[in-house]
Amino acid sequence: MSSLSYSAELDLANAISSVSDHELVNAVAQGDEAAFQEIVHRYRSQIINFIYRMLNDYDRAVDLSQETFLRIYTSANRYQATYSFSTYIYRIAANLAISELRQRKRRRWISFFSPFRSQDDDLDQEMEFPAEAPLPDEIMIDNERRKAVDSAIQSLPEKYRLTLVLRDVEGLSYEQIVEVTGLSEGTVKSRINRARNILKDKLQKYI
Amino acid sequence: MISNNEFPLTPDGCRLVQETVDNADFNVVLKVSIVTHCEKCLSCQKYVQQLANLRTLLISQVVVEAPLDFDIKLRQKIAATKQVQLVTPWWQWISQPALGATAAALVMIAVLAGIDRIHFTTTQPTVVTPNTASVATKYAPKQIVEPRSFTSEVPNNSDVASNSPEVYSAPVAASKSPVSNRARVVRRVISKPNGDIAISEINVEVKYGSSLSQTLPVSAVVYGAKPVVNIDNNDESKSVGTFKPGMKIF
Repeated sequence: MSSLSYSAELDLANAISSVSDHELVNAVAQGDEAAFQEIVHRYRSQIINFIYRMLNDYDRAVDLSQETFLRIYTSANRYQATYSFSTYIYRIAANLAISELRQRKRRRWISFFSPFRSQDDDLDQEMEFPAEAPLPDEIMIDNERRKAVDSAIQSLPEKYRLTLVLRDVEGLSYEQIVEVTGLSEGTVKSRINRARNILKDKLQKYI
Repeated sequence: MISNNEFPLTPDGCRLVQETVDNADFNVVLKVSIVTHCEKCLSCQKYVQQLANLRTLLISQVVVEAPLDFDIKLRQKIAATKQVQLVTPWWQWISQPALGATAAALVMIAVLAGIDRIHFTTTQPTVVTPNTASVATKYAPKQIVEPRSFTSEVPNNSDVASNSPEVYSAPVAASKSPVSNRARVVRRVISKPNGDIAISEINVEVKYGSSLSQTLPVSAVVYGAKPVVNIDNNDESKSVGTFKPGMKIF
């Protein structure tokens, strides 16, 4: 009995995994929870990674990823299959990430003028606990490189960062980036090229 | 079909290579053309190599995984959103014609009542006497007469030798009313046979509105269950309680 139900579940899972994104979104609009679950499983990691690369903040990246899926869920009936679903979901995530970056910029601006800036705030950002055991050289070098790349990406202006992450980290095509950002292809190419040149300068040591 | 001639060894050819190299991943012919160009052009070779290294560096960044409770928290957020949607916002039910009209009528009644009250209080005559004033408590509904107001002005023995009624003023809590901030209490002192001072009765003239007034013994002046003024027959005098909103004491 249990093996039968397991088999049935497997068949159902296989059936769902073979369904296209458009069909899944239509099913979500009809209230199909399993379809929504499948969408989450398909795009969860990509969206978290994308937002993480934009913000360099894991917890916030998780929050905003959930917000992205929440918006997919609540507005599934308004989804129009003009663009691919991956473009649609990246567009929502990109808007949330950019909005977060702008809010952070405003907060930094305000805190800059705050007469009572807490020294603890600065400590929280800079404090890193020393590792208890010494790291092997390779791991240390990897960590250093990873931090350097993260730092270089974060140093990019928001408009360059978005296009570069979509292209070189997420691997989207130029056409998809045009759809996500709403920019012209020329602008997208120009921004990616500019971002790469900045990164080449900053990461000269590693490339 | 792209031939080697499309990327000549000129500045324009190099620019074309650098512009199109990004699209060469999925186009084998283009890729071959670029490789052929780069074999003879060190500048483009360096550019393409750096680009490839940079992309490798970016792609090799650690991929973060979703936390274990990702789905659970997402479900919770969705449930919370649904709950919020179940509660009808006020602007939705007010948009229904019948309820909207009722709400508008209630607002009008409230506004008119407010205007009436304002008119009523502002048209009352102002009572000003040399050592006397009134207290309008319209704008200070919870005024409390401080005990010291009365005790500080209780006359000494010589003052009560005569049996004539006395009038003194007792300060009360400050009011924002334009009328005054002092209360006038009419006091009649009766000497007891043993000559001790005793306050047997204090009459308070209470004015309701502009014309109606009433003189009451202090114990009868009450607001709800709280006496406005309480005075003992001992030497110690007290006054406690609150004035009724709109009531004036002269």
